[in-house]
Amino acid sequence: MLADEFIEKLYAACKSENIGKFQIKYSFSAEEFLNVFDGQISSRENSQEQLYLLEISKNGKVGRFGISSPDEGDIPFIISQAMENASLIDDADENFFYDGKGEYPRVLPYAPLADKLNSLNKEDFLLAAEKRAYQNPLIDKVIRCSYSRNYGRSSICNSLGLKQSKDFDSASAGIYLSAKKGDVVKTAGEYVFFDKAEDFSVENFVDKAVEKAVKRLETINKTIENQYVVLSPRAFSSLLPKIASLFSAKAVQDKKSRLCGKLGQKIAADNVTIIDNPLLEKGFGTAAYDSEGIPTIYKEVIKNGILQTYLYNLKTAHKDGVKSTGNASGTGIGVGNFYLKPGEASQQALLDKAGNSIWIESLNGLHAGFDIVSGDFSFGAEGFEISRGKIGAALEQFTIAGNIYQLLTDIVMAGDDLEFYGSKFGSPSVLVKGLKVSGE
Amino acid sequence: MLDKNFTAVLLEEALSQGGDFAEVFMENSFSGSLVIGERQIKEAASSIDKGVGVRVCKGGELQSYAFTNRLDKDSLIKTARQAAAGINEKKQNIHFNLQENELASPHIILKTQKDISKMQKADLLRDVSERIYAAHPSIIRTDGSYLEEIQEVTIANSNGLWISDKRERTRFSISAQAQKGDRNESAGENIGALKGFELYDGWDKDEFAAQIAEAAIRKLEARNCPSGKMPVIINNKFGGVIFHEACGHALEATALAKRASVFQDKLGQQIASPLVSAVDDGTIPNAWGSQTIDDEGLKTQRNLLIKDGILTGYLIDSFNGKRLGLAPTGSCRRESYRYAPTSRMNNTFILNGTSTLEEMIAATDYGLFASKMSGGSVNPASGDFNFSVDEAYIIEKGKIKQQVKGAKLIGKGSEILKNIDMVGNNLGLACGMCGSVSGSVPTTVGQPAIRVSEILVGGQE
Repeated sequence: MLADEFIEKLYAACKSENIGKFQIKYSFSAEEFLNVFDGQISSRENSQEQLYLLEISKNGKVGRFGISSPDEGDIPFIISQAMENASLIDDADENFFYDGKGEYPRVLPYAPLADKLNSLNKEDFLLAAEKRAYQNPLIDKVIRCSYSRNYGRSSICNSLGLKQSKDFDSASAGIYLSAKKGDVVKTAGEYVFFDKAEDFSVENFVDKAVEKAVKRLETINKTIENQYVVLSPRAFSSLLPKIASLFSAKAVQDKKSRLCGKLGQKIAADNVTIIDNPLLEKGFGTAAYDSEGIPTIYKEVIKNGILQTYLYNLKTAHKDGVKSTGNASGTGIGVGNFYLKPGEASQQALLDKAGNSIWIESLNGLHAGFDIVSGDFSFGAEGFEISRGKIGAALEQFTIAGNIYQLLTDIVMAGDDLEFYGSKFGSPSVLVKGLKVSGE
Repeated sequence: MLDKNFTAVLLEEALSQGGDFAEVFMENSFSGSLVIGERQIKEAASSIDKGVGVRVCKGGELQSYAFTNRLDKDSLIKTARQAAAGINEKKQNIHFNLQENELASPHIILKTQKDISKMQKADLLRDVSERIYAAHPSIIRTDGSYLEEIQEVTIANSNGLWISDKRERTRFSISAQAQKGDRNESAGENIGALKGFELYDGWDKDEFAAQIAEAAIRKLEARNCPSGKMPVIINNKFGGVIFHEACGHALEATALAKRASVFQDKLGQQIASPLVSAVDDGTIPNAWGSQTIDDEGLKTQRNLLIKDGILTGYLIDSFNGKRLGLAPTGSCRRESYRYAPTSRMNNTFILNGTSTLEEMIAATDYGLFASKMSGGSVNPASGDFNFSVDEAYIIEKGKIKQQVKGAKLIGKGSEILKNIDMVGNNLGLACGMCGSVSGSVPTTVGQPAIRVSEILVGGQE
């Protein structure tokens, strides 16, 4: 049975069982994946998968049931499970569905250059990439050299009249390799997303990965004491998901975020503006509507240091007596394209201002080491010395520690080099003060 | 699930374009979850997920995988053909006869979740939540979840294997938030097992709740952790995450076959302190990380990885084992049919030594007692690791002094192993989810308390 047919039958069955409020979500995706190793294709993968999700609202309490490969005969069971789940909820706060009225923005999300991609010989591309990496004598192992393409569609409809669907198409190639000198092994990786012409050049992404790995081999042992450090666009981007979580209306209402009661107050340095933009052209997080079908809007969560808004879904918006900001993601809160507004200073200007300092290239251990309730964080870091205005020798792995709320006020300068790296989170390079750096 | 005849057709289709091994993995999984917040059940969801994954291998060089959850015959044949096309060579002459294998499971389920009402599960969440609130007036909130999963699999392959297994797991997690003045801290705990609802029989909920509440309250007094190189005593149970990350992943054939492990070619060599012996055991009855068979249908084993500091074994799956010339160890796992399986861990832990925790603390002039870890990661190729510490104390002159927060441990995995200079006798296991190329799988980590003579501690001071 085709998906649309099944959804129609499920919809009709809900109506005939007099279920007042219900919502049906559907998603389908297909993926292909290739990996090369030691001059040969080592892995090929292909897949198709689908998922139906029925949400039933009983007096504002929503129960959910998901199923991947249903028959028509499963429909009564699906409905009864969702109903039973709804009856378990005793949440005082109501959940809502959206009726689909209003204008939906026209958006242009990220997509690979399809014609160029379809005519690219992916196997040759990957084999050439691996071969090129090994041309550098310091490269020890190309651990992963892979291509993947993922496309599909998702839809949402409900008893109030909402009916929307969208397609997606994404592709990437990545290389992850190790460089070795003596006993020292350092790794680095690079990805391309085939949305720019230069992504189709093997040299472009291989050379970047090789250079990064090789640069990390020669590390120096040095104590660098400086109140200023510079975070690379990549490093600060990796902090942004944590920063985004502070603005979640759910986190605020659950008293997990300290931004409770601070609308209109200064919570960051004067030069800090943080944007949630689901309408960004070719953005990786661009979408016309959120997971509740609400049309998305551009917003600044912080503008010139002042807290402008929280990020809402229907439930949290109702609780605060405001309109949803179109930030629903699953049962929680998400963002579109979320980034620190770039400044006017060049990266060089940041390096000059930092003096003898540290350039933090990347952070790791981000899945642990952050506590939203206190705001304290402690992460592993890789970086380089900044000396005489230049990024110099690599440093051995070190840690940075601080408090995320304090960090917002300690942003000194944002560069003009905004980057997204295939993610919905982007950033320019950022000069900050007051981070605790510990290392050798 | 599919019948033998049709499965044989899929296997034939899979081998039609070359390859010397094909496998069909069939899965039917049920999962349910409840979420509590602020004394109320906020979310209730459940799902049924059925799918099939087809794998074809050529020696240890090339693996082709295709999966679908569209289960009509045409879609399944198409999937098998996609897997075959991934090899794209001359068809070999492989004959097989699917023979049913029976394997008695040592993991008995007493009260399957299917026989327990959802209301009973919700009541359990509410019950523990109320006990946490009652434990201390400064507790302002609890958040928790109840998870249940029943995964039924049937694995068939061109060696003639036909074997089925049913894995039922449950996990209960809850955290408490404490507030004092301007300061907010949280602490949590969880229990889980390859069990049904009987996991919660005879469970001392008062003690469980009190521990969580007290941990959150204690954190309110914690000061910033100082930085520097110092001896670190890592407590038992979840402290084992260090070994899991610093050593475990680098012992998986997944990394070894790519020559991306710091422990390659080191069998028989001293890679850790002579006080350290460690195993990965997929057979522990009803442990969270156990299974009767792995996800390519082989019986799980107790694998001795390190004995008295000498590397004695790796964790091997069949495909990567071919590249290494090593036999599989029943360690092949995948999150679901959506992933090609590869070698992973099950229940991984350092064995008991002879010191007591008290002796270890008394023997430390200045250092850190990491009483609870929160997680971390390692780079198997370079050995660089980092771990976050959830609860820690400064030790001065052999006595526990101030509780500290925000500590991070970094260094090289090989150094940590060699610098373990005391091993305790209070072995305990803790549940976790381990993520890697074949998805997220339930694992336990464990150890007795251990002391590492020197680790770099990154703190807020």
